[in-house]
Amino acid sequence: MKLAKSVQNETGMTMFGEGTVLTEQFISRLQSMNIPSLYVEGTAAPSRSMEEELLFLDERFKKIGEEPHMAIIKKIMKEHIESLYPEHERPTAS
Amino acid sequence: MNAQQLRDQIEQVDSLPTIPPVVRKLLSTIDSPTLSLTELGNVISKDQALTARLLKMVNSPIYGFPGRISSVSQALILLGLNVVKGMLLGISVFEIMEKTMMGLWEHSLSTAVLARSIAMRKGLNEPEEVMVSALLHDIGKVAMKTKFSEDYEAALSISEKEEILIRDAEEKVFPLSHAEAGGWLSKKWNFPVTLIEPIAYHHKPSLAKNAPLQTAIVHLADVLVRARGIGFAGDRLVPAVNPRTWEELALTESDMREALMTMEDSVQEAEDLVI
Repeated sequence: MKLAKSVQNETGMTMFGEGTVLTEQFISRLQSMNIPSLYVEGTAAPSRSMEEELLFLDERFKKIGEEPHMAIIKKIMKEHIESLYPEHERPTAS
Repeated sequence: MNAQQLRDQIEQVDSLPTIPPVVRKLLSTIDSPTLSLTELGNVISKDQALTARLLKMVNSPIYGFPGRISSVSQALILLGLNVVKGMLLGISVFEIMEKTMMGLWEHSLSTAVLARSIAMRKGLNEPEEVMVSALLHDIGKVAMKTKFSEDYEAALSISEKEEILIRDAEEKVFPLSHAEAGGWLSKKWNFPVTLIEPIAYHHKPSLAKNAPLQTAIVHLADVLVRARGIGFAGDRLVPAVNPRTWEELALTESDMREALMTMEDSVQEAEDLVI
């Protein structure tokens, strides 16, 4: 995991530059420096489980019947949501 | 209430205390070559809090000029008056948007980022303009809720109880929906037709005569963001896409996947931009 943005201290001085690799040593230094939050590269893990997300997806589409093109939109969305989760959490057979 | 009464009330929404005097003044300004952008920049710059938020927003990676815009007049030159005007309005209504409907800002912002991404894929000259119209596409909801709070609450509960789209519930309570209301406002604020049509016709893209492509993009982005379930736009349902719009935009599956991924990446970053 790498820093997506540089980390500044309270006076605005850059302490760690963008791209710094977050090692254990680095994390413990940050903890001692009272840094409340930082940006890391990549998309944050979704707060809901994939099963829940997919259930909500079905729920949102429940009023959609045979309207044209909605099946393809739902399919793309389902695959998109699945791609946000690590591979081992995705269903093995689709 | 009839449509004219509704319109009269809606059009008064810019007198809200939440809209800073500078933005209020700017809303009545027309984009014209005789206007000096530097002078205009100086007027905006007098409101420091607003200026700081604007510069933070335009310098974020989602607008394509990261770290390069250092003054309001530069933003005006690069993005144009209408985009800056729309962004300032978006920033000003952010809090009231969240108060109106928890999650509406997130929905609007995601639609904006996705619309820009689709506009770029379709090779539009002014992707920022499409983005701003998407950011403001539900401004009519804010106006309706602000001016007719109880009636709007009634529409929200009808939508929930009957499991219908918020726009259909609005039409049970009001003579028209938020899309028309947003259209009136953007006309009153002297926005160009390229911004008015996507706001007014984001449910009925085939009605757009002057900006059909921009309107089609905002319509699709709205459907996709609702399908993805980001934020809250008044109901938890996906509206059907307009089939002709879908066919005319002719996005490939990989276009859509990439645009969606761009949205996921940018939205997190954009969320703390205005705070």
